[in-house]
Amino acid sequence: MMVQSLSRGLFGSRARERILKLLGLVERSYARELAKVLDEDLSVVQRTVDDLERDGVLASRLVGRTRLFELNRTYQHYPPLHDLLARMGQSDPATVESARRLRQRPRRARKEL
Amino acid sequence: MSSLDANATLTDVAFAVCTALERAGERAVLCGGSAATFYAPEMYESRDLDFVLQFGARATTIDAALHQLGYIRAPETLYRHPETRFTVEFPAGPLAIGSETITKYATERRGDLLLHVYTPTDVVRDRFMHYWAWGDQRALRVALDVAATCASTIDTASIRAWTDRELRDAPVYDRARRDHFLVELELAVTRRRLV
Repeated sequence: MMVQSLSRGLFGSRARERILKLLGLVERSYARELAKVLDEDLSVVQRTVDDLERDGVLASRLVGRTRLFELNRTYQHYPPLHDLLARMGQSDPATVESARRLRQRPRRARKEL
Repeated sequence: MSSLDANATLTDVAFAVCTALERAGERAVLCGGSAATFYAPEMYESRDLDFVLQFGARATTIDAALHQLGYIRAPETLYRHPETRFTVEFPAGPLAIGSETITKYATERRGDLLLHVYTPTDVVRDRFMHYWAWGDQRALRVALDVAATCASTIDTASIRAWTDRELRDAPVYDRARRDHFLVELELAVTRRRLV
């Protein structure tokens, strides 16, 4: 039987840690896509990325009507944080699988998303 | 303290906000593009004032201080004024450019008002950082314009040394962008000093 961990992890919430680890591997994504590949509630993901952006950890930009999130490259601790998250993501099979699914989603030729 | 009207400039608003916060016991430092406008208003116009507050600032105190000036908190940490077009925001601290924490800043005075603001050299570094990290050409242009406007006070040697440290400690930023910027920076500063 699979036992769900109650740990909030290094970043204070399970959703926050999962989102950050995934962004450490895939560079950028948007809330609906993150919610889908992580199987998290969209409202939880939206609130989490908004909080992380307000704290300066994530940055976003609009592409059409879609807000893309990525680690904030001007955040004071961006280089070590990016390195840490990539390592954490790579050592977590669930995150690696989510990243693989996200990268394999169909994209029209030359489409930026 | 007088409230602000539609004729207020960014600098007027910056002095008023910083002074109101200081009198309420909260230290705030103007940074980002608004600090660039403070030093080079002819070259770049920002409509958003970004202040970084010292750790532990109380939201109720900030609200009350800005309310005296006519500013009302919109969603999150953005403050709007019914008459002036300038918004006020408080990005997450601490004051930092790249991996470096900023502990020294300028304090300008105008009568009984004061303004804590990045030094011109730090404005140049801050705007360049946006170009370095994101490839933002507009930020590069602003960095060079501020450098030219404030040429006599820009410490190009310290900027070069800082970029060397960033590249050494965390080589995630593009060396070619840094090299291009340093060449342009020297040209901008030297040209102005010769005039």
